[in-house]
Amino acid sequence: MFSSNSTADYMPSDYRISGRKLETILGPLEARVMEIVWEMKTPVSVRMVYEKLRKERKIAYTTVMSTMNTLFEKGLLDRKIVRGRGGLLYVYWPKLSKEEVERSVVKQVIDSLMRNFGNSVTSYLVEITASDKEKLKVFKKLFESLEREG
Amino acid sequence: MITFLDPISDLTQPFFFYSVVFSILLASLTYITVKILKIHNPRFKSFFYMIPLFLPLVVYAIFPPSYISYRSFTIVAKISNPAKLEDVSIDSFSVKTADLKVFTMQVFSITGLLCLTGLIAGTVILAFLYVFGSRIVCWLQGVVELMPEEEPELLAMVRGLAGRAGISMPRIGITEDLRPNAFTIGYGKNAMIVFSLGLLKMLDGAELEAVVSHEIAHIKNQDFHFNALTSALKIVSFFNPLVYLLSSAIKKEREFLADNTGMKLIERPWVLGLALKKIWENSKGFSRGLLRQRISSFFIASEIRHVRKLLATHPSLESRLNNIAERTYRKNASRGEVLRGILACALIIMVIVCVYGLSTWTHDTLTQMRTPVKEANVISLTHKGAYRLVISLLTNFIPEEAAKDRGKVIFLSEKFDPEQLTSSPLYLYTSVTSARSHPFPPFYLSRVSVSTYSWILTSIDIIAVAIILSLFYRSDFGKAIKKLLK
Repeated sequence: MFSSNSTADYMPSDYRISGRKLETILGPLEARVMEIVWEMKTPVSVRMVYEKLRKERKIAYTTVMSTMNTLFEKGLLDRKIVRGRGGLLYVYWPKLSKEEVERSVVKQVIDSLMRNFGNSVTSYLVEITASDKEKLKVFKKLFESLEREG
Repeated sequence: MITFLDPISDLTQPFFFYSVVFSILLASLTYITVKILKIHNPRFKSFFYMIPLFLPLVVYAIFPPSYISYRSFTIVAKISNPAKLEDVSIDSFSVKTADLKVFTMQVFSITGLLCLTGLIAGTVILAFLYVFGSRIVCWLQGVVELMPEEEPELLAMVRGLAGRAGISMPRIGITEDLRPNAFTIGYGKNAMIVFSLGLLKMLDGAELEAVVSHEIAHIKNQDFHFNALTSALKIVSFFNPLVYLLSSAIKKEREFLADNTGMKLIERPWVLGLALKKIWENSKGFSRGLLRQRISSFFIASEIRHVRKLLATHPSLESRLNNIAERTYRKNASRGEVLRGILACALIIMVIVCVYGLSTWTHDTLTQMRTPVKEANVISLTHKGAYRLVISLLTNFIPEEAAKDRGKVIFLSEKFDPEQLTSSPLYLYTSVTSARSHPFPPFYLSRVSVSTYSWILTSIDIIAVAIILSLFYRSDFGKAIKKLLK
């Protein structure tokens, strides 16, 4: 019921070059909330995330609530009304695993670059691969296996 | 030797019998008084309904409940040669003679156990409510306290209304519940008003202000203390069904009072009616059967949401809307109503005093059992403040007063008609009574007999009732008394 839907792709609306990891596509708080939701591995309520975040920083409950609502609207979280502590409340769980989101972001970004700057992207990839012997080996193996498969 | 008290004797133990029967009588009297004297003020009514809940404590002060301190004695052999009783030596409760045997034994009283359990549990619950009540509700309901910078509009609204009510700013909390609800926990400076997310989303500004005013009114009216005391007293008499009705009635009156007080704090009081209606309609179809919610409601001073049950702690929507429509909140208790309230209080207190007198007088005789005995010469066994055996055919027998610490057995002579022996059956009375052999201090010290005292009190009560009733049915007389009181 609460499992992530691996068939869906995440389409980031924005990409920040200066950001680190998930913060390139999400705000810092959104990224931290997503990390917590993935860590908890069970459906979580806003209060559960809030209590975890409160140990790290001074934060308002309503801020966490609106952040989780935004993540739901962005399609990263799914939610459902359940009977829990205090009454009927929303519980959230991730729609995609962390790896699926990362792969999806890479795919979307590179697809966009290839579409718009195809030649430049290819030559740059060759350039950075040639400068690193380890990467070069990896690429060679990848190409060889692709050729064998025909 | 431990044995169980027979059911009838157990149910008529003074502490149990009086606490149940007289609280029922007093509740009926209070209800009738409130109706006859037309007392509408919810504050007065809640105080009146509280009085019968206190009665068991008064009864327990007079007859301390005990589950095992009862003594029973039974004569098992016939008295074949009464003349020899002159040689009887009395040692506490045992009479040493070949023909007369008296046993002492401990009797286990279930009602005593119930009363003691209620008393202990009530005290524990009261302490628990004050020490852990708020924390338990916060944990059960998942309450999150808002920080000062959160929800600035709501905080400003609460601050304004608290200022108008003359109380310090309460803390604000929210629950994740998507259904509309609000409640108050704690008291004084630690009071917290909790709103559900459902309520905050559903109500507009004016409606939310009305709900806040209702919750502020609960804090102003000290409803936490009132409800804590009611809950504890309910636990004390948990075996008495009446207390559930009374506590429900008290909480309903406190809700009306909170509505009235709250409406005085806002400019458009009728908006409270709109808000209540909205909350009611949006609460339909949600069951509240969870144990967690039931436990929470025990600790919560006020919950705005309606519960459709016989013993609901909240009045129905209809009655609350009527109350709002009638604008009773505009009216402070009139001088006449205050006067009626004082008189009703006086009447109820007099009845309590009378009950006290009557119960002290009669409590010993309630626990007697009668057993037929063949060929026995014992014609009766009675006791009033002490155990007393009255034995026949003992002319000019001088009472043997053995006033030992543990009790006394006194033999008295009485004129006895020998024909009675043959014409009517003889009975042996087995007595089970409390260990206390002396009347309560005021009666013990007074030379006026307890029965006389009770009759005096009863007469005073009857006169008082007559005066109060005539006061309200004869206006001239009523006016004269009012002038006198002014």
